[in-house]
Amino acid sequence: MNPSLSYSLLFVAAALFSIGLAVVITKRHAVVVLMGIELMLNAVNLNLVAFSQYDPSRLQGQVFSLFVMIVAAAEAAVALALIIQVYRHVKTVVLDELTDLKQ
Amino acid sequence: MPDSTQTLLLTCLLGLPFVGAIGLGVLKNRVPESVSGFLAVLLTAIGLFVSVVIAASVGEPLHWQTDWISFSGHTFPLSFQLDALSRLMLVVVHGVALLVQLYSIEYMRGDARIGPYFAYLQLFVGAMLGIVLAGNLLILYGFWELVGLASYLLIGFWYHRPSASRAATKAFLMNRIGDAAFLLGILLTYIQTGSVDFGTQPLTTAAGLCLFMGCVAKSAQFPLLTWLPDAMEGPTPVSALLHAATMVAAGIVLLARIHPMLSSDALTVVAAIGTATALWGGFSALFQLDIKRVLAFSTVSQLGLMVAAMGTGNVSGALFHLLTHACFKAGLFLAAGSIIHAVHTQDMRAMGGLRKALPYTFAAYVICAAALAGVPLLSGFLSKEVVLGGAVVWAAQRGGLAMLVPVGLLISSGLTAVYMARQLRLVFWGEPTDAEMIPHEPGWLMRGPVLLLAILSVGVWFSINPLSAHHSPFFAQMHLPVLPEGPVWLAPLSIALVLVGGWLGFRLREPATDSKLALASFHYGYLDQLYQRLFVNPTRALANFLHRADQRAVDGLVNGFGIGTVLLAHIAAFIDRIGVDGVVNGAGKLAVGVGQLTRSVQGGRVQTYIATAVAVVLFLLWWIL
Repeated sequence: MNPSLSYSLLFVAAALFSIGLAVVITKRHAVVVLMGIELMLNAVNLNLVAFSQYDPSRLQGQVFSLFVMIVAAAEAAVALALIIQVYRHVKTVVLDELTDLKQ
Repeated sequence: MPDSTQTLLLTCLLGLPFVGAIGLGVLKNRVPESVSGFLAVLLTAIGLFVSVVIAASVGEPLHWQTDWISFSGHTFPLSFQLDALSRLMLVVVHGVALLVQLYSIEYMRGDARIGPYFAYLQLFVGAMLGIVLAGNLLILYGFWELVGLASYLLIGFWYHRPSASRAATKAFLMNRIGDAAFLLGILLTYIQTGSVDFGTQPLTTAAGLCLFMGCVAKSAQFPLLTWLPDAMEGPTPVSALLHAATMVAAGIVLLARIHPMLSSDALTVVAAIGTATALWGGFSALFQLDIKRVLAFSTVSQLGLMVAAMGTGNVSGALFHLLTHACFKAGLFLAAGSIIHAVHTQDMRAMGGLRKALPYTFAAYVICAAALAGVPLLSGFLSKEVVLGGAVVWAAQRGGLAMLVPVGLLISSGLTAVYMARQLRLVFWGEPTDAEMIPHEPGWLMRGPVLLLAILSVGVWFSINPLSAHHSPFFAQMHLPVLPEGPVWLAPLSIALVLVGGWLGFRLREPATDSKLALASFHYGYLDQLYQRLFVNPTRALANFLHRADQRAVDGLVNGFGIGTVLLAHIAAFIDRIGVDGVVNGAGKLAVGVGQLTRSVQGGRVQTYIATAVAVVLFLLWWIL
């Protein structure tokens, strides 16, 4: 396999992670923030897959990326449930208005 | 009479007036006024009875003594004695006090403070009895001060009058001068003899003169005589008591007691002062306008006569004159009180023609005044003869300047006739100045004592021989040596002086009140003005100076200290505010600031946290790698 390909993979993953991070930090809607998190997770998955080429026999990276996807799915479910509960509780999902943590 | 009985009587005599004073003082006005007067009269009557019993039982002089104060080898006994002098004075004091109190019941009727009045009178009498009975100088001094206190209370009895309270203060202060010297004399006596008993040996002249100073103040001798005329502000019966029996007599009693202790030089001074006083008082009485002031100055003059007699060694003569003087002077004052009671003024110019309106008072007044002037057949003549005779004999032994004493005394006795005649003319002769006012005699409570005293002023009670008292039973009683009789020419000479003086006083036209002579007499030789210049004004100036010094220096110091303290407190407060409070507040503010700082980080916004976390991770990565 060509190592240059892996560099391009890493750049894509880094870009994806940065975009996700930007979304997480800047967006106001909780669901959109959740999307950002998914982007970051997927960027990590891409990294895992890209580095797995250096372990062709055991493919640990690819296997770990599968775990991550499962955990991400579960995390998305829990997070959405949380957002719904928050919405029920304070009638908003705008993160700027949820400042209870400062207390 | 056994001694124990006499001791009992002595206690009784001394105790009664003080019991009366305290009792009446406590009762105050809770009992009707007639009751307090009656009680006082009763107490004094008992005292008089006891005194007469004691006087009648001629016994050995009684001494009663017990240790009183003793410390580190010094012992001051509490001692009383009852000798011939005490017996005489007991009767005189009680007799005059009884009559004065009887008189006071009517005279003071309606006064708001009748209870205290009689209480003060009792205190006065008690203090005087203490002086008479005192067995040594220290005890005498104690009662001496009590007499001063009682006189102060009585002279200032009508204290709402400013003049009365001033007169009381003046009397008290002038007596203080004498008392201070007297106390000094007692101390000198103690130093020289080791005891405060009445000695029989002459002391140094200085000690003797110090003791004599007590008499000078109390008996109103020159130069401390100015309190006596002012003391006329007291009620008239008080004046009678003061002049006849208690206050001024105290000085004479003292002089009789200390006579053996005076050196011959001191006695010469005593004689000189007595003569000066007699002349000064006689001159001052000449042109007074107040009826009581004339009598006051006549007392001064007569006291001078007694003191001069003491100075010439004639103790018995002086005491004899004290006795006769007590009778007629008390009579004169009480009669003057009756006149004042009738016409409501003391100014003799507003009187006149009273001999028809007040026949009893007129008769008593004439008898007493004649006795005072020394008209034969009356008591004053007898006692003056003894005094003058003693003085002439004394002067003849010494010769030279000593002759001034009898000459001065003769002149003063001539002056007595002048001013008494003038007073009789002004008060009783002439025409009434106010035709509408009809004065009338007081009741018998006032008339009785006056008449009794007038009767006692007749010479026959004292000596059967109308021209000489040398064989009087008085001297036999007194156990004192009687001086040889004066020269034969003395009696006719003094009779002539009295006649001339009387004629002058009666006939002489009143000089203009602004003539120099009359003014000098009226202001008693400007003695008060002199004291004002010499002592009062400098004292006031000193007091003012001290007052200012006090205000400026002492107050300034105190105020400065206060201001300094306040200033220091302000500085301390400032430091406290800036320093201590600053530290405390600064700590608080620091905490607040840190809190604000950390709080601003914890905005509660999840995204901020995340951003921060990312930034920190990036920083760490950069730092580690």
